[in-house]
Amino acid sequence: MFSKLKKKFSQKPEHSLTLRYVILAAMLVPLPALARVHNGLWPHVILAAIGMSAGHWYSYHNLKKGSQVVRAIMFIAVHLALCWLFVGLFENLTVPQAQFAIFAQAITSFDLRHRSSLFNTLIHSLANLYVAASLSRTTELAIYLILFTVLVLVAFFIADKETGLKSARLRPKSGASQTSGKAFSPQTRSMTAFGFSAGAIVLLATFIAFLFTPRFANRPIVPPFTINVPLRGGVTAEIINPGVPLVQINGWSDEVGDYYFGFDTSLDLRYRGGLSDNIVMYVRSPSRSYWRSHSYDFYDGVIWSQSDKTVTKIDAQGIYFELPFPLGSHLSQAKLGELQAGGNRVWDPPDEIRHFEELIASEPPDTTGPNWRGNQQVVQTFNIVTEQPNLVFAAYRPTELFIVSESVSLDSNDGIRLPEPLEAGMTYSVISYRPEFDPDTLRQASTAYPTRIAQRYLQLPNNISDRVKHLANTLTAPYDNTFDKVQALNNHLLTEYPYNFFPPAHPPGAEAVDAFLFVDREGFCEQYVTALVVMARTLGIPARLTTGYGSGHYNPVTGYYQVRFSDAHSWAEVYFPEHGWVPFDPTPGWEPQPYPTPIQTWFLSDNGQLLKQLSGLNLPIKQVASKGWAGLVFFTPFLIG
Amino acid sequence: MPTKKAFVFSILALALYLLANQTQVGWVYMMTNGLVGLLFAALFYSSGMLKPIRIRRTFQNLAAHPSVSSLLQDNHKPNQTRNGTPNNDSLLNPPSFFEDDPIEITLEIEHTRLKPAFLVSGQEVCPFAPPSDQVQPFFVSSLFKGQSISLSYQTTCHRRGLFAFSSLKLRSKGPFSLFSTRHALDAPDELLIYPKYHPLKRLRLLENKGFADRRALRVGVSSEVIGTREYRSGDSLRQIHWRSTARLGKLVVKEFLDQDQLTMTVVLDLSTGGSIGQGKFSTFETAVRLAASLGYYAACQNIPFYLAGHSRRWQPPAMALSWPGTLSYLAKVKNDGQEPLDKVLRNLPSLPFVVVLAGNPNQSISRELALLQRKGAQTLAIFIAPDGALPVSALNQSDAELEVKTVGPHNWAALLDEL
Repeated sequence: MFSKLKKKFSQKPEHSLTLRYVILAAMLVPLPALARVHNGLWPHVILAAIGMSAGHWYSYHNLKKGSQVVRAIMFIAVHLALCWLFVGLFENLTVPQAQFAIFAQAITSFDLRHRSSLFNTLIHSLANLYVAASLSRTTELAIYLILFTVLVLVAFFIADKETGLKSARLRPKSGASQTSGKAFSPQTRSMTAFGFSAGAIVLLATFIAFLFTPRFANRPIVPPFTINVPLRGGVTAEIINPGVPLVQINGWSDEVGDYYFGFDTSLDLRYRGGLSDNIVMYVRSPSRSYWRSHSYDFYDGVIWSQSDKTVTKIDAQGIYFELPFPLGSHLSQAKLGELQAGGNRVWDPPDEIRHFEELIASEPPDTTGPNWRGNQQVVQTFNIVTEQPNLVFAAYRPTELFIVSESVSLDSNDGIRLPEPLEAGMTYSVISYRPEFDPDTLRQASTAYPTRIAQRYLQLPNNISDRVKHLANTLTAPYDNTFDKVQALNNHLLTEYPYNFFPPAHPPGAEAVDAFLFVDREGFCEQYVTALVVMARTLGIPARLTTGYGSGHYNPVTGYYQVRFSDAHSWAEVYFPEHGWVPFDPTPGWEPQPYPTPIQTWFLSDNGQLLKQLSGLNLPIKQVASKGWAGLVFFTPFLIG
Repeated sequence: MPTKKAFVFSILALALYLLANQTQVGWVYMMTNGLVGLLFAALFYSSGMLKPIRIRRTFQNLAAHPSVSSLLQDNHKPNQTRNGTPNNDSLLNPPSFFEDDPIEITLEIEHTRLKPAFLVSGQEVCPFAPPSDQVQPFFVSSLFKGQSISLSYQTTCHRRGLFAFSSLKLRSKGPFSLFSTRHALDAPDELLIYPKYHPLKRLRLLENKGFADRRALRVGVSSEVIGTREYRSGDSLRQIHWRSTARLGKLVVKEFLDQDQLTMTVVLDLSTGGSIGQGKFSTFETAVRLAASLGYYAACQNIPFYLAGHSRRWQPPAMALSWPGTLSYLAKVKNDGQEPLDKVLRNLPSLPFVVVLAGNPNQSISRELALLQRKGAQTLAIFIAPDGALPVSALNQSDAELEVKTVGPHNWAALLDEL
């Protein structure tokens, strides 16, 4: 029986040099792909490439029987590589997992005597490509994927061809040969033509599959984060912005830079300046959203600031921070108020979480209000490219945070602070609950604002002009509910004031909103938002100015949103009882919805938005996409008609 | 049908898809889609890939038969036959394939559609090759429209007979080895293999009796038509049998009975019990070879040649056979008759020269041979035994004058030289 098993599983050595060359080339392709996505891997990649080549040479010249000594060395080497992996994880080495993968493959290439071993190692190479894909943020990876695919298919072809020719008894008629490789012979031309046509068919089929592959945004077991030196430090109310220039220019400037004045303790509307197109971060998210940082509530006519600078510290549970409530919900203010009654209170889960759950339980059931948790979890991963302030950027409304930091703190305006600025190369993840704001439901919201809200978010300076108040009243006169009034103000700003990143300099002594609405009649996002917030407050509607980044440019291939300095933005948040803070963006040329869009799953995924933009047609792509295939059937008559 | 590689691809695609949903990495979705796209492309290329393939066979005899060329008529054809449809001119052409001849068979494979075929393997089953050589696997790496590939193999014509090729079984895994496909390709071909013969130049038994001088040079004076034969130089055009000529496509004349005409009649035992042994070395097969050798001699000497015997399907023609006709008949004949040889001999008319080939001699046959000889027929009896030794029980005591030659399947040619 043993001899039968031995005979069944015994394999013949692979003598084909051509096949070995092709497979070696396929094994080498993922190495530069890894090095290109992470420059620190170049030495490791070169070492692994040398190892793989040497291993292939050794395997080919020792086909008959493997040396037990070499196998023992390989066994030890693989375990050493594993130890190196663990060292790398804790010592913050360059992508230690990728290092282990390529070293392990180089070591095992010394025992590639059989055809099955050669093909099995291609699966290892595919895993290396997977690592490169996970790290890649550009479309350059396509070159390596295509090259690897072509080499694997060529290897399959060569292997089957050699097997077939070996077992065949018929030989080509004298003068003709199936293997003759005359350059530009008819067969070579035909093969080349086939290669191009097959490539086109594969690409077309891949593209069609890409359009129709549903993307289920599952909650990962552990969202991505980097294990590195944790952000150290205690609670700080200060916003540390590493991009702050040594000399801040108040006034007009036509220079572009990497400093956004909205990521600071205060926001001065007199500041002018451009923002560069340097990439700030890459964000992976299943839905499009703004990446919120913090808000301002106090306005003195030219400067926004935070009236309450207290923060509430949350201690870490490892790398995981569970926020006590979804930031921005109507519960957050109530709970935060209770917590901060004692000043700079230390939040110490899990006891306070239990207390929070009791608080939720004691709340009267709200059958008309929305589910404050929302219907969809939005898991976002932020890869920081350029050093950023000590603020956590997240989609509205964050509830869980995965970041390596000793602590985080919550400010009084639903912002998350870190002890230190975000470092380049850091990765953290946030889980948010996507709110759903139904206009009809919002129209029925009451105007009974909690005292704390009214005190802070109806504040106005004394120098708000009458014409500003009059304009607000005029625009909202036809409406009897808060939502329609805010919409009226929003629409007015969107349509009547052109965007200008470099408007005229702020007149000294003038009130910023009056100057924007009636003098300059053009401006940048902070001016639009300030106008909306001020006009809303004159109507008794609590509102605040919020800053962060816009969604950025989405790359459907990599799945990343590329966020640049020029995507820094501000928008307004208006308070609705039982609903919490509802974002509005009055700035023309930006997304109409500052909070996360519904997560697309079927039919074109997020490409529905791209198609809409490309075609210029106002087709209800998103509505169709959100309904799945049933929606496509239902909406087809409308699309045609 | 998906291959193992296709299943591996599918599993990898599923695994990558699950990872992509976990990590939301766009490139991993692309890798998943790439694998799916590859599977679809492979399916597209594999489906119906083998149907447009066409195969044509050619046969080439690698052995020369110089003695045959001396019997050629006016139109000489090269020593190669293209097969496929029955050759109406086979009697004009020299016979091409004989037992034990080395033969080269060429398959010309071509593809008739734009979608190419890749990694095509198949099995050619050669029905007349030796058993160990019958299955001939072949392989074509790529086939494009307008390009044909010729593959050949060499074997030997193991047995005489009319052989038909069965359909070719083709299979392929497509260009990417992901989907396998099969197809049975009809490539009907037939090949007639003639029996082996010894080019007998002399038959002393016949010549010493002075019968050679009695060889008829022209048609006999009798008015009794005993059959037809091929036209010979000198024959009267008035004796041309036009119907046979039109049918056969060559000049055929009537043959009249000439009591003085020398003829050779070979009697075969076509009964089912008339053979000992199996395969190409049975006594019946040896008898066929002997008959062919004698037919060759008769053709060389212009002696009308007849075959006699009793068979259900393979009854010998009544007319004198030409050399191609003899070979054609002997290539196909089988011993499926019910009438034993002794009965056939009993019913034979008086003939000038009779050769009796007994594949399973016994006393009855010997008795009838003796009677035949007493009738005045010059008789040559050849007993064929598996071991070449005369079976004692086959002879009667009273058959002392009966001249019997004994031969085995492996020394029959040597015996002919002695005759």
